[in-house]
Amino acid sequence: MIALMMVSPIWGHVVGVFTVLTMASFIGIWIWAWRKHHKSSFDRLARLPLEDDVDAIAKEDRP
Amino acid sequence: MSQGIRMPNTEHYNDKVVRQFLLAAAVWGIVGMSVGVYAAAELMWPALNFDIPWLTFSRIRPDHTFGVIFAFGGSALMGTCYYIVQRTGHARLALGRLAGFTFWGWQLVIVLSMITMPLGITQSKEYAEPEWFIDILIAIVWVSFGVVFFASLARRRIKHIYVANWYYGAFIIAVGLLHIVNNLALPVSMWKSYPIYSGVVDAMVQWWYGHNAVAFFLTAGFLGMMYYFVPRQAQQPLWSYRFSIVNFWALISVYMWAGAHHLMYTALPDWVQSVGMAFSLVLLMPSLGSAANGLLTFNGSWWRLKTDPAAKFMVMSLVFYAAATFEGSMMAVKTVNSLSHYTDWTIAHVHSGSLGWVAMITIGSLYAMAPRALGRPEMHSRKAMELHFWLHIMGTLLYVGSMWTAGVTEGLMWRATNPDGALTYGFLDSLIAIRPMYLIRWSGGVLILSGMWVMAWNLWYTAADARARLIKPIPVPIPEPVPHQVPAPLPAAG
Repeated sequence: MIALMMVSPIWGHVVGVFTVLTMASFIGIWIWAWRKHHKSSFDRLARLPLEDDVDAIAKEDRP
Repeated sequence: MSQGIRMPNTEHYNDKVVRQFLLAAAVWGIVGMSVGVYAAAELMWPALNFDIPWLTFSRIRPDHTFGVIFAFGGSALMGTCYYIVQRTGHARLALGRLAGFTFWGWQLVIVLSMITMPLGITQSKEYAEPEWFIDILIAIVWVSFGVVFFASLARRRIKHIYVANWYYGAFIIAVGLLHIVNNLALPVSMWKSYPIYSGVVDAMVQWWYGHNAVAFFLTAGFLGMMYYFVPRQAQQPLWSYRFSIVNFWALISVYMWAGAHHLMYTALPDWVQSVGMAFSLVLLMPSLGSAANGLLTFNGSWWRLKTDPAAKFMVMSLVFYAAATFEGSMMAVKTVNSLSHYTDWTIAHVHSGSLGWVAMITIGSLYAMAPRALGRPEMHSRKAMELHFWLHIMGTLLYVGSMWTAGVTEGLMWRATNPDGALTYGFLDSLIAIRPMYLIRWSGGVLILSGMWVMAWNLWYTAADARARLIKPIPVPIPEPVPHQVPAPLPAAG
């Protein structure tokens, strides 16, 4: 079965198309993540863990 | 939260199930590591098995791996997951009773597995030893865990899903898939089943599972922990939130295809081995990306390492994560693998990942989460946390250093040949050569186990108020709803 796929000329095209699609989606994710549109909500989210009790331990020790 | 109008608020976070998993993690950490220390002692002093079948190395070794990965790691993952999904969604955990079932169900799975495996009731699949009836229970508990998690996400009050939840979501979906596919078997009696796969297909399915247990249980899950507790402990926002998104998609799409590197130079077709090697090398990028993102989050708050042992655990865990994933990719290169495979180098690699990365991010996160979940401003004793850090780091370095030395020694001795082509050393020669390393490994284990006892002592005293039922549940911050918020804000409810 696998040997048949290896010799079929179509197989090479399938591999090529798949490679192009995965590369395009990878680059697409970079573009999506870097869109200006997301900046404010990402900045808001990045601060989310800080809301859970500003811990007393660390604050007192600040030099 | 200071902004927004305070609406009448009767909704509180469900931290009871979080506390239960916290306790379970502390107990199973000690149990799993005790079995590990005993197994290491048996390798050094073989008489310690006393010729009792269930006490032999082969029977207790799965108890060690199951105990530390699924009992200790699993309880910590489920507890932190429930904690984080509530905090990052500003909503109480959905389906409280089902969440309670996931706790008791998971504990039952652990107890059943750890009793049956030493009795020889096993599928003999590494990291998937429990027999078919336990596998079915695991699947039920796991699906319930997923239902609680995704139902909690669905009732969140913050539109975007915080990145830690993406990792937990991938962990839940992928581990469920892996578990079910790898454990498809035909039971022939209560205590025995046979897998539906055979030969090299069975081997490939097993290592597709085994490797992705590392990928989605021991990496994606703990990265979820990292992406929440590292910024929290550094008290700084994540270095780059958008970079964490790119790393997420890269990690989960690449990891799935790397499992073949466990089967180098076997009956597996050569091209499959090469695919496994190539994907393992690509994997370097998302692994180092996440490690860098976590470490750079500490930029500007490195001074915290002087005063906060939890932050120290987290920073060291990220260093070990970067080191162990780099090492793993190198070991997947066929030429390196020809030296490292079947030697103690593999054991060194696994433990630099598990003791260095997984255990340290877990301990750091538990120390960060426990005071909050137990209604205290901080852990009972910071000195004890400091002691735990040094016991753990010294133990890990002794363990990993000795096993690296042993592994390279074995690899070189096994491949050495005389001019006439005969092997220079017999197997026994290599075993005698590495005996001192086995002693050092055991002593490293003793240090690590002592550290876990120190943590248990510390947690016990931190939990004094919780045991006396003096703590109050923490209210969910519910701000003024944003116009046209999607999903529509939920009314506060108990």
